[in-house]
Amino acid sequence: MSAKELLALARRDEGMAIFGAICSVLVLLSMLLAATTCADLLAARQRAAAAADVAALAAAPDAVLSPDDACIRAREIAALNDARLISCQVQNEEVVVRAVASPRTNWARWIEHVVSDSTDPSVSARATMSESASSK
Amino acid sequence: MQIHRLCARRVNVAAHDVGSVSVEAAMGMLAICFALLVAAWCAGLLIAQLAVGEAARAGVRVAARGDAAGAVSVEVHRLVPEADVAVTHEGADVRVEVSRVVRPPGMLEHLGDVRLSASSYAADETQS
Repeated sequence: MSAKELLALARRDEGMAIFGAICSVLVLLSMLLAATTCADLLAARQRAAAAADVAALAAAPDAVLSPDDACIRAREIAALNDARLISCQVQNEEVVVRAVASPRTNWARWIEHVVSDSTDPSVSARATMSESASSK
Repeated sequence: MQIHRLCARRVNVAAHDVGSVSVEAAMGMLAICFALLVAAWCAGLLIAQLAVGEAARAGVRVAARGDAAGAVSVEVHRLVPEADVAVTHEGADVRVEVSRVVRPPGMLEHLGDVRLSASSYAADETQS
């Protein structure tokens, strides 16, 4: 191998390891971003489930006498838990609510918007006065 | 003759570069290991935050039933043993706040402690 070829080989390798390391770190950061997004989406769903649960329980005592007040109370409790009630129905002393919570990061919100056609981020819960009383 | 001298000098320059790729690779590996450590710790923080949120929600359900603060604390500590629990009654609602301090491990210690917290509300069923 001639001197020129050796020199060309050495020059071709310059910076390759750093380039590889930068690529690896970028891949790691992308994986971390993906994990953060998944955790945010999961936390939002958990928050919605818990909010729907306590909102239904809070509304149950008012369900018989005043269905409108029951739904107002459910909305208050859902809002306090960083969730939003998208439906509230009172039928035969039973309260059925459906809640949704937004992810905290813009990136996760965008992902949720993109996949909203195929997945439903809302969670429903139901409660009756007897359930509410029995949980005491 | 002059061309031969020039080639010899370049070969010497190339000889000085021998091992530079290995050094670069070693430095790159250090950076990757550090990034991996930070990423693993951040993933751990995410899991811990989810657990703290779940503990707050479990605790508030117990508090809403009218159980004593001790019972709420037991329920929260079942999910997050190191957690601090605060139960407050706000009008017709009850609020449970769960927090936990996470200390970074080893060489990340200088980043400082991270406090994770979550709170949850429910209607106080003893008042309805």
